[in-house]
Amino acid sequence: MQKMIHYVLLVSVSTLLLGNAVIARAQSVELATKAEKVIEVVDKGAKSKKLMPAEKMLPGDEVTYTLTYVNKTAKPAERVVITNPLPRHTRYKEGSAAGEGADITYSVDGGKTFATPDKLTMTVKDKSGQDITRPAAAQDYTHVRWLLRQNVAPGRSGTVRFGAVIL
Amino acid sequence: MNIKSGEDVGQKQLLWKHSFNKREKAVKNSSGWYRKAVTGLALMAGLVFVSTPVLAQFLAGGTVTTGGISANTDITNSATLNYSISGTAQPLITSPSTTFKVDNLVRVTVAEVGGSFTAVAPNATAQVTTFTVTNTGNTPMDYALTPNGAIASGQSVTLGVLLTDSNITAGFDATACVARVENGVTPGSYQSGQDTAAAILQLSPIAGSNTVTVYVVCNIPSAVTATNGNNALVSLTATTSNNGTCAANGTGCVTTTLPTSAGLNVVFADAAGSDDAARDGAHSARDAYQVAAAVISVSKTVTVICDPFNGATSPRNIPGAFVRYEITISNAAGAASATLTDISDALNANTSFDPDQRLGTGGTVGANLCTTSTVASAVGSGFRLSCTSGAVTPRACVATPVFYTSANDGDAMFFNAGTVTARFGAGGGSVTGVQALPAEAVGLGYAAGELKGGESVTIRFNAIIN
Repeated sequence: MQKMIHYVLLVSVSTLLLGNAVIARAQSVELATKAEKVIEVVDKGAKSKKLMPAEKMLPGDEVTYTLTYVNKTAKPAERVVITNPLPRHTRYKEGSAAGEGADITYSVDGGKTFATPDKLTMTVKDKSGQDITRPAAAQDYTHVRWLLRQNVAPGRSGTVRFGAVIL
Repeated sequence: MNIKSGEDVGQKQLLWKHSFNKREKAVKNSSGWYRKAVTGLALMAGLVFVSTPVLAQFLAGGTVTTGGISANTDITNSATLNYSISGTAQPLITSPSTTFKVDNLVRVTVAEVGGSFTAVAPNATAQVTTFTVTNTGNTPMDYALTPNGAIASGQSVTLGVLLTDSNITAGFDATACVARVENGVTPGSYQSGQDTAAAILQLSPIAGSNTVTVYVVCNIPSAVTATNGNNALVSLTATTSNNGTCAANGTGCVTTTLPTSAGLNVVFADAAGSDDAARDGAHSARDAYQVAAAVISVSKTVTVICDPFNGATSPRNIPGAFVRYEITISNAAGAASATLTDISDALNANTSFDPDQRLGTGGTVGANLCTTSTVASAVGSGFRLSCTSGAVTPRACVATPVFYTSANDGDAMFFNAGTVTARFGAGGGSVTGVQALPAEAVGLGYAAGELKGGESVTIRFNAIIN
């Protein structure tokens, strides 16, 4: 009986050690993403959107990606910029990007340049083959970027999010 | 010796091949299905196995289909984060990626082709109605096909007009219905020798190749009570089946069911069809057979037109009197075309044929008031053919009656051995010669002997009472 308890204790200690090792290796700012399905629910005639686990994902479905950052360093993280390329086979859901205390910009050129929607343009060929410039639309976006206006204090975390529609 | 199955080779195929060679067995371990050879003979069988075409369960990831991005496509997201500490830029942080798969959108549409019923005659066999089956999902699927000729009386379908399944005493349902898939060799119509598949195999969801034509082929019962305009409705239901399960003869189809298939969620997104519910993985549409036989009636009238004593004024049936026979063949309005061949009528032995078709008017007073009462065109022509039609551009005989001599001289009508004979179309047996109703390329066109619905043809000739 005593042996068994001893064994269990050993396991616990080794788990702790492993845990420490992980934390030790991640002395930085961490970033995680989560995908959830957006469904529209109608309750007594009122429509609202609800997040569900990403199951039964079909073309046309809307996905909300939630990006969670956490500062695991001992010092404030400055000039935090989070960049998310639109996942392949999806398009940006217009007006979906959000992030408290963040300036949100978008790219339509594969991440080379970023700007707010009103300043984004696309150059396309018209029927006669001439280049014409038109305002960019949500489906043109290739990247979403969040610039956090404030430093992230040690131990603090936050989230930003955006929506994508499966093509 | 173990031969590992290819990634795309489904378990079913493996087991199916297994049935061909009892010296092998399908075994499963933690990493998948294997074919286990029992004897050395398996080497040869293994080669056969490798050469078997691999049925891909899903399209390549990212394929654009009519249902959106193909099932089994990975949607992967990863973000990056830049930051600085104490003014010094730190290494770029990349988030672990989040991945989910696009699931199997099952959506099928069955549609009637032609927008009209199929006109049939009672007792006709192998009558065809035409449908299309379209895969608007995001995965290639098989489809089991279920034709139903026994749509209940009173049920309806709108094909230009509302058609209602007829409720007649004997019942009027299409029988022995089968579904046959157009094989593409001779598209546009059903060929029994070519279009033999009874199920749809691996129908692509990719635009341009996601529709096949399906023929429903039924027999029409003799149903003596069926009359023109009676409808027998027929439906075709296509039921989504797992890709690669249906045999061409329609057997083996494994109906796709919720919630999962081949590791993916299945979502039914089909609309309600004529004979199935919404979101059941199936769709259906209706067509109709409508009885459109020819409805022929023949009438014969006899009128005395002149006698030797009263002339044309109140003539009586006395010896020497002329009587006019008119034989009218009518096809009822709305009926299908009839093809007339010939008609014969034996004259009463106590009468003689009038070769000049006297009209019985305008005769002079004399010993025989009837002898000179003819019209010029009828002199020497014992027969007169006239036609009626509702067609905008009918046969020529509608505008101008046609006269024929009474001799058997190769024209369309003659009197011989006490019998009058008229040839309308292709004569049967020994009857040959000119046709009274020849093929005519006017209006919608006429075949030889054709009498369309709503038309009639009348033969007139005179006989003299001996």
